Amino acid sequence: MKKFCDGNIERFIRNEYYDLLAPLSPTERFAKKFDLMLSLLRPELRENDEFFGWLIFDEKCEIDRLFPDEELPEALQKAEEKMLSFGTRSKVDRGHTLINYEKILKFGLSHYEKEIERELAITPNDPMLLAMQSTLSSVRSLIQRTLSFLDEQIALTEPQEKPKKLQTIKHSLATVPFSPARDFRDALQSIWIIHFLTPLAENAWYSISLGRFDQYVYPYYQASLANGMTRAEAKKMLRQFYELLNSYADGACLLNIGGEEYNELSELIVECQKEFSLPGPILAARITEHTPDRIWEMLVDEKLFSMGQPTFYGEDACVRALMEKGVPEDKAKQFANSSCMGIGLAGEEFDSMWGCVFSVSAALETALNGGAFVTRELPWRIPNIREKITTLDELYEAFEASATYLLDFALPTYLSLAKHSEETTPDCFVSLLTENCIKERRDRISGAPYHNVTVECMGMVNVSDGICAMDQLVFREKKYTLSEIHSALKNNFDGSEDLRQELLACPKFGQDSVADEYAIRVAEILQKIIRRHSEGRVHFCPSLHTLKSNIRYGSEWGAGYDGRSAGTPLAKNGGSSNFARSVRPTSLVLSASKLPQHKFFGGQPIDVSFSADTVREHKKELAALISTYLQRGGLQFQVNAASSKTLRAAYENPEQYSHLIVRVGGFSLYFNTLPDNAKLEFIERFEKEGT
Amino acid sequence: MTATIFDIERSSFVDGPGIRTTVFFKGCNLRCAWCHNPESQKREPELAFFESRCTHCGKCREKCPNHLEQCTLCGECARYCPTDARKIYGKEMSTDEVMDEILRDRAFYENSGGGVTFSGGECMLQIDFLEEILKKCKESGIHTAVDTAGHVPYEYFERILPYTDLFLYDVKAFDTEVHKQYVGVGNERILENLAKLLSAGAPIWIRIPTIPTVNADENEMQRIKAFLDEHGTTEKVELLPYHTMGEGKCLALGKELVTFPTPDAETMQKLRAIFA
Repeated sequence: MKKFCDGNIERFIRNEYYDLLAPLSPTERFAKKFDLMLSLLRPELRENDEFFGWLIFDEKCEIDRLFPDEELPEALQKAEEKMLSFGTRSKVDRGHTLINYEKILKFGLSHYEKEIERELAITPNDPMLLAMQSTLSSVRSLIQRTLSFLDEQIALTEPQEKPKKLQTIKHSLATVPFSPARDFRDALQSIWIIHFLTPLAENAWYSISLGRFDQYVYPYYQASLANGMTRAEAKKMLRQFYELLNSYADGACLLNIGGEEYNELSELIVECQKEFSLPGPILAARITEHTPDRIWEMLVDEKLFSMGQPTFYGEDACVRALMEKGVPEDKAKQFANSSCMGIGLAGEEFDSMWGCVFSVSAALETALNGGAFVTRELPWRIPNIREKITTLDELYEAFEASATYLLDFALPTYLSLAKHSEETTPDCFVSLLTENCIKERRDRISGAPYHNVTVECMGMVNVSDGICAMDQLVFREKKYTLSEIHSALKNNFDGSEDLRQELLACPKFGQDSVADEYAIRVAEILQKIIRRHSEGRVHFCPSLHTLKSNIRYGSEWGAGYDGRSAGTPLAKNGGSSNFARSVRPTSLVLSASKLPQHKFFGGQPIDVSFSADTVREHKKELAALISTYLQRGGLQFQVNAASSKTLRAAYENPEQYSHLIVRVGGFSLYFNTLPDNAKLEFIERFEKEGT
Repeated sequence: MTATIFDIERSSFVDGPGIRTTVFFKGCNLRCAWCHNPESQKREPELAFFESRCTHCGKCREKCPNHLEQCTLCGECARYCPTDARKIYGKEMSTDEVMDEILRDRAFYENSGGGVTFSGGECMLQIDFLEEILKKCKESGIHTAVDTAGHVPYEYFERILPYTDLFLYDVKAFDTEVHKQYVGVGNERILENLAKLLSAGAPIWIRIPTIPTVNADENEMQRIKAFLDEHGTTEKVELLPYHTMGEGKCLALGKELVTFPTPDAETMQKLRAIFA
């Protein structure tokens, strides 16, 4: 689907106005860039619009230019290269923003303007405050320009047509987002303007979430109903809101519904989701033990499941996870889920959601090989790793030492990258909407109360399965030596098929077996090392979230101790490895809920696929399966429903299945947008787990 | 005490109410021509060979102590087969072993109103084991269902009635000659047992495999309905459309393959309406 505004705008501005922008300080540059971008947007009104939404950018630009101060210093480039050598990546992940829309609807942007003015009265020349002020002034200009455009449209319209509707739209835009919203239309108008500007400011066109939409919009919805709005009219407005969301950024915005209470708006949203059949937004259905049967009845739905919707979140488990991170209980209870897998507080965070992807396989290889890598040749090795491992305890000790060494390199590197990003590419718009930042005159990276750095433990389940296999075959049964195993791994099991079969036959995570104990131990070791790096507002958040990156990271790593062949996908999310046999939905739920999920507050979904018939005919059973997981401390349960036949047909004839939506990770997308290897992996997984 | 079990399936949604664990007993005294679990018929463990999965790597011959000349069901060939082309069906399990498996999903039974279902083959042929494990389940507060074709002495039912919360009772054909032709025996004892069980007030779900050319017609279903109405009350009647998913297993076990047409949705709807 063509986006009406995307990353082209940033590239275009950088390229066209390079000489103007290059000499400016980073905050001045942001303000200027933002102003230029807004001035280039073309307002458009479309048939049946209920509020103003379309701001089009028509130009195309493929050239990516950095300003000189944005270039990474050589030391950081070298650090990135070293990380890559052990399969690990780190970056300051912009995007994944969760704005406090509730506050904006209540007070309007003028509230922020006034706060900036107050602070400027104290420090008139503060560059951050000046840039924030300029940013809001650019937004005001954009609104003014759009209002003039609406006046022109009204003037062009014959009186008998629909000037009243246009007047209503204009009236709303003349109020919000600067003044508080009064009704449902105002609320959607205000949210959309901010939602539109956020990725533009961040220059990150993905995963901008809506938070607890059904709760904070509900008072405005009720006010409109009291003033005569019908449910059908509300639905028309939501229809446009959904269309805008799906024509912009990646559509992967999470919209929370429910929790302690599902209201009329929550139910209307579920209805819209089914009726509109669009990939975004993603519904985050928040489940408690009191979630009524009628809500389960609505949510466990063949059509929703076939679009990978909704994702189910355990309310209590999410609160517990935030408290584990150090958030006070009363605050934790105000949490909102955000894309891809965040559990956070709206307007209080900078979420570096792919801040670090740590290759756990690197830690196991080096632990079992005296500090040297097995499946890749590197000119360095990890110091002080025991040369000979003969017991499980020695293995865990060496694994912890290896993981510590590698993470002690990767996570401080992230902090340096974050410092560089903040100093060279601030985002004064999102910062001014983030708690603390105006008062502290800081960018959101260091100013937000919580700077979350998600650390994806990529391949953790493959590693724990591998340790389980070593314990059985090397330490207890003594059927193989580590040296024999290493020789097989180096050759990708070529000539060692027997060994590979024995590795594959060992218990695996997801079977509700002894393998789970190894996964728990590895998870505990990793979360301890990762969290040791948290300091002040920076929280390193352990996670088992992979999205579809398990394919990419698997393709980059050699054969594994669990019998995995080189280059094949690693385990996805908090689930089992692809080749684990006898994994059933109940066994997976039991295995995954044994993990210390609350300590993996960076998020960890499990995915279960069901056939469409199952969803239609066994709603009660599926509801029980999901609720059992969430009651046992599970954070996130993702669903998919399709038939294997449909998926295979879509793979063979993509042109005939352009509307097939599947759940891939943190979001739903059109199946056709997946690369072929990801399609095949998805089908294989579906066929194995499809119930 | 042990029983010969060929599979224990967790997360079953189709063998009674709620989320269930289904324990499949090996051995059956009927030979339904459409049987989709052909591995359930013979009581003893057996080796299946799925030819289409075989890559002719020779690993099975290499690992077999007798180089595939004589099978002792040791399972080494299946263990090392890289493509799961070889599989052993059936193993002896004690009541404690089976209970351990059943108890794993207790949380799901409680949340979904599910439990355990003993199926087969014909689980009632191993009545001593069945009685003991049913007792154990009841002691553990687990809902129990017995899936039976009913071709056993009624005394067996009397033994397990106190510990069985639900019977899933197969009625394959009402006409005894048709029954004999496709199942191998007449249905007199089966219907007699069903009548007694209904009179005893046992909770029963009737399951009718619905097969065109055998029983997928209104007259047949009307006769079954009349019989059920005459003898008591059933909680539910499920019509299970014939499918061909057992074909692969049939060929793998070297059994003769008999196929039937699959019923269309319209027929199923019409026949189901009779019991609605």
